[in-house]
Amino acid sequence: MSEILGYDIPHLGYFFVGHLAAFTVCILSFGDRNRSTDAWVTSNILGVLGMAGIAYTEGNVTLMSAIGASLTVFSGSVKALAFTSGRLSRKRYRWGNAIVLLSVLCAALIMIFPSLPYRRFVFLLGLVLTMTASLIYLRRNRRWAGLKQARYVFATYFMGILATLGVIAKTAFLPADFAIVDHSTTGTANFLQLCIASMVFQLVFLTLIFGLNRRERERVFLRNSRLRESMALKKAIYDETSALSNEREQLIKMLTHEVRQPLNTAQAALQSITADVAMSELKGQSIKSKLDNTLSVLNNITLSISNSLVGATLISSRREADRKSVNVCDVSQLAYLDLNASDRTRIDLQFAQPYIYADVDPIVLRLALRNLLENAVKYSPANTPIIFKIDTDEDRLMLQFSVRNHIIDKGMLDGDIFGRNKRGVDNRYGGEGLGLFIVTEVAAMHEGTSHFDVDGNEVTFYLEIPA
Amino acid sequence: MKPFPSSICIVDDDEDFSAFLAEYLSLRGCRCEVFVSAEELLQKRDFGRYDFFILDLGLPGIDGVDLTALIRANSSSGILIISGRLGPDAFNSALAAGADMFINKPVRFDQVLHATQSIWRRYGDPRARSASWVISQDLTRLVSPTGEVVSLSPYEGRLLDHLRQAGDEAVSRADLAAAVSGAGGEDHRNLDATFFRLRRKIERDAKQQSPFRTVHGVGYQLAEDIQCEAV
Repeated sequence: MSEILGYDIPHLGYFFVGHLAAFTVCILSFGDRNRSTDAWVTSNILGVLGMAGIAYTEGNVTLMSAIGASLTVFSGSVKALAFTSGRLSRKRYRWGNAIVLLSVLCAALIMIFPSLPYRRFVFLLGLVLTMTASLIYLRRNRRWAGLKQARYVFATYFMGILATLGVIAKTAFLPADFAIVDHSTTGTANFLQLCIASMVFQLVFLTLIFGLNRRERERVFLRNSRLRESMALKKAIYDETSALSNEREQLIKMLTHEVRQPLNTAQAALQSITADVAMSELKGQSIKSKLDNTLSVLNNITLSISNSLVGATLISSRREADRKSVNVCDVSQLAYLDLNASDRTRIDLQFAQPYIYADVDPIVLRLALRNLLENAVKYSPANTPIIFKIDTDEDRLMLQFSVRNHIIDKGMLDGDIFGRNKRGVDNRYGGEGLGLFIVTEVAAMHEGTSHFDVDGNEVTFYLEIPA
Repeated sequence: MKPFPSSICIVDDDEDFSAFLAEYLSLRGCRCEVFVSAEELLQKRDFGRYDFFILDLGLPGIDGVDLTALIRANSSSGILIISGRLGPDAFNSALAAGADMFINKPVRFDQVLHATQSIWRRYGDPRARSASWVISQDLTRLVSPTGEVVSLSPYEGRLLDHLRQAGDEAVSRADLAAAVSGAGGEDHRNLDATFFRLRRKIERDAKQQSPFRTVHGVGYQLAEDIQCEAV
């Protein structure tokens, strides 16, 4: 037996079997199992069996070598199927199928007729056909489209075809009964080439499978990302819908408790006035007191409605402040005039100057200031003074609105009093808890702040906005 | 200047509200005429008869915004808008059409009175709309359209002059600082503080809005024309 680099064909057979086993383990271990890997592993098993027939038998015509050569070609045919999508009936595979059938025919001829003339040529032709079918399947199967590893496989198989055609050309003039595998130096060299080519095919297939797996993972990741985005969007829509639903519920609640009931009270007051007017002995002072009371009730209703409208529409929808350069003293004066006439007498207006222009949203600012003033009136002892100031802070370039008043109960300042629906301590104090929430939201709309300071029995609420 | 408009035109489709308001304002000694639609007012086609207009936005037919624009095109009288419409569109369109102030409902008569007085103080003098601000040659004095004088420091004078030369263009803080003091850099706090103080000074001395405005994120820009005093 001839040797190449100290190895004869049986030794090279060990290498062949060994690398097939190793790559089979790799493919089974690292790749996701699918039809392609199953076909490839099956073909490797057939290849090992075929190699046993080729490498470990000697002689020109033996049944074992014929079976081995046949299995080797058949192994190539199965390998070609690894590049299909599994559904061979598809029209795009018809040429590949035809060529695979021809290769199977070659394998069958070798097996059925061990002494077939030109059997070496038929064997090599079978190998060329399997590689050609592999190339066709590779190009026709869209699964591999776009994978750069597919290009490597294509190049490798193409070179394999050229190399095998070269071998065919070299052996064209050999006798018709020449052995499929001869153990001469040339035969051993050819066998070594076959081993190396097989290893390269295994390697590029492995990279192809890895490339495919990677792309699948990327697709799954992308799909999951889109799914997450879609879920997040749906959740946002759900949250928004829930918030709107809550808004409506709050509005209905407010209409029930803050509007209908006070209106009823106002009705009662007006009825009382009517009765007084009907009585001849009524006194003017009595009517004035009742009218003041009625106006106060109606005033509270308009504040509740305004707060709810602004709270539910302008602020909840997070609209930007619609700023115009206006005299904030005018806006403050309007907020002051929103109060009951009887309450205004308690308020001392201290504006730094009568004209202070700033870029503000006058509608929401008026409402915020009115809430500060109403709170001051509501939560301070009767007849105690309230100071409403506008200062300009040159150091911080801010306008500072402040309302200072005595306080009935310090406990009402505990907790997050600027939060929505948060009132002092409990239900001892009326209202829906929207007032200070609106103040803080209006401050935020103007990139400003709101806070309060307690000094002894007095509290000062601040609304500061840049000017 | 009269302390209060002598003739007020009220256009509102809420006849009861208009009648009560007219009665309330008449107690201030002025003559009030009420119209329930813009068309009714337009039949008279004599805007010059009135010193002041109080308009509703939601009028049938020609709406309050269009009516405001018509009045402003023919008269420099004060215009107060009273509307229950919320949202920036109503507010912006009314002011853009030429209204002087916008009050959203609910509104009380004393608030209407206050707003009317405020506008009247500002625009009762016809010069308030027709004349320009004037800056002296030596940049030490700024004269308001109604003749009030505001003294300027050299730095303030140079700032206003630089803005004046830029015309309608907004001038960045960096350009202003470099042009006026020769100092560049990123910290323009001194510049902002100067404008802040100047604004307050003009408001206090001229009793009206300063002729420049802040362009957020950019710098400053003239909001009204400033002429240089003739030699």
